[in-house]
Amino acid sequence: MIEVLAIPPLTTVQDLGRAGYWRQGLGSAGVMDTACHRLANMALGNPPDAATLEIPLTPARLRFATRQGFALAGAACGARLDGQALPRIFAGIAAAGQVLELGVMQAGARVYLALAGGSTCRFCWARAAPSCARGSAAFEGRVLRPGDRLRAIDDRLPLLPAAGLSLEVPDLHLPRDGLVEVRALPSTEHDTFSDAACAAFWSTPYEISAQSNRQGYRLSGPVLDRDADGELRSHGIVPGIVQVPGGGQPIIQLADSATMGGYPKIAAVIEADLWRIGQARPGDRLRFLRTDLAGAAHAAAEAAALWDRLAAQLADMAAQHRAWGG
Amino acid sequence: MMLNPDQMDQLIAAMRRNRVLRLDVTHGGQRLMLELPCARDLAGATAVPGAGGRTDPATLPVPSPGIGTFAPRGGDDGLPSLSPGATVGAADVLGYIVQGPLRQAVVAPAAGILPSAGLPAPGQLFGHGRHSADPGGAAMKIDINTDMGEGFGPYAIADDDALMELCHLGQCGLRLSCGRSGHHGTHRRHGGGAGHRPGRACQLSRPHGVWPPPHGHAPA
Repeated sequence: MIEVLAIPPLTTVQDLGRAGYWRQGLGSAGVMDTACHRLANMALGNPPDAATLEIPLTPARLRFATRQGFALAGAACGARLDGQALPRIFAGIAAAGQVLELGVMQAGARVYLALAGGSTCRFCWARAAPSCARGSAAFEGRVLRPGDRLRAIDDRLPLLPAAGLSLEVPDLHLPRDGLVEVRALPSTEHDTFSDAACAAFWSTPYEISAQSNRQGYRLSGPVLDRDADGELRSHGIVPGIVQVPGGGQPIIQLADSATMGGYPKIAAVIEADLWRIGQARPGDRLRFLRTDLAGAAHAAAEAAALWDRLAAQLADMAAQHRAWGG
Repeated sequence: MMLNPDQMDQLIAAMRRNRVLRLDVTHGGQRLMLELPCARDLAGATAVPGAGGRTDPATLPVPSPGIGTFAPRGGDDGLPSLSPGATVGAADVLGYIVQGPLRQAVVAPAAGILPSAGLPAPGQLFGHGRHSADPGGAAMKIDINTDMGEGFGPYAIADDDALMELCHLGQCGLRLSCGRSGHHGTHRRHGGGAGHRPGRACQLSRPHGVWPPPHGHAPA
């Protein structure tokens, strides 16, 4: 069990989101950075969709009320456990009473905190446990605040090296020139934009503006003008869609995306790269790399293979520790 | 397994203390072999914390938590790197023992100062219990008897290139069995284990200074 001592606004409990309610106008929500959420869960032996705390602002302080396996992954934030500096991705066991402090974020935009639990791990509010069973996003639709106490349903301790485990940090940038690069498909209204707009969109970096949140990131860069006139009827949209409102500055729809919108869509960021945006911060520069459906499918297969390999390596390590009587 | 990691550490400490170079135990269908390959391991025996011997805090060793290569902290982990002479607190992360994407934390056994020679070189190979913060310690040496050239097509069971890289670094001795002297047709017919890509294994070995000896034949 862990108690929130101090935390800035906007920290929520998230998982991989809920599917199947789009047509009722209910978006998927879920974590902004699926990669770090998965890493934190997998390091503890949790299922990938177990709930984690998504912490977008620091500093924060949390106290472990009981001996507890936990994992951190995401932004580098000078995390400390009772004053002991922790790596950016870390899984270990905290003793009862130890305090976890998250400092200023230096690289990345979000930290994920997972508690070790069972295969059906869901965070529960100690004082309202029955209500959380259905919740796949923030409980009661609100953010966490000091005094909240959370526990994992299954209190088992994970099999980990004595001094803790870290994992290779996924590279936020594709290997080019330090920009956050995301692969995207041309979307329905792509060809209604001018040739100059299309050329600029696919070649010029855009800056992530301060008008950015879980619903979407508003970008600033070359103005994207359309050859077509008139408004569109509202239509379905999903996370990753890049809309261009009247001002010509694109908006990327993200985890809390609306389900409907009427702005023309120039592109759709592929699912495998959405996590990169989730760790990008206002002021970071972002470039779109054009791909096609085959490229998107290849990226998805690569990502799935990577998670499978990591799961196998973690299982090997756990088996080794189990054999050692850990 | 017959021993847990703590018991293994105690056993290794006892070997150093008693100047035992090699221990081979078989019990309940399991076999444990521990080997201290060089004199340095014995010289450090008195510095093992909790081993009952004299402890010199200036040379306190840090046992490796597993088998893998060393990576210092300060890369992409968000922690500041440590220079020789840096002050560290007890249980501070010094670096990692890396196995693929997994990094087992190597932590300081006590508060103190890093020796002037600093931490081991990145990529240095360690076995379980080796002194990962002992700058003078040689890398663990492994003798490998391997049947190379067996990974082909969908059978990605062998990474010959990675193995050769280790040999190039002088971190293992190698007895390479790749059917160099055998008649490939004979091997294939009689299951002699020549490997499906013996030529490639031989080709890989030469730039790394490894010359494959003849491979034993299965009876024809």
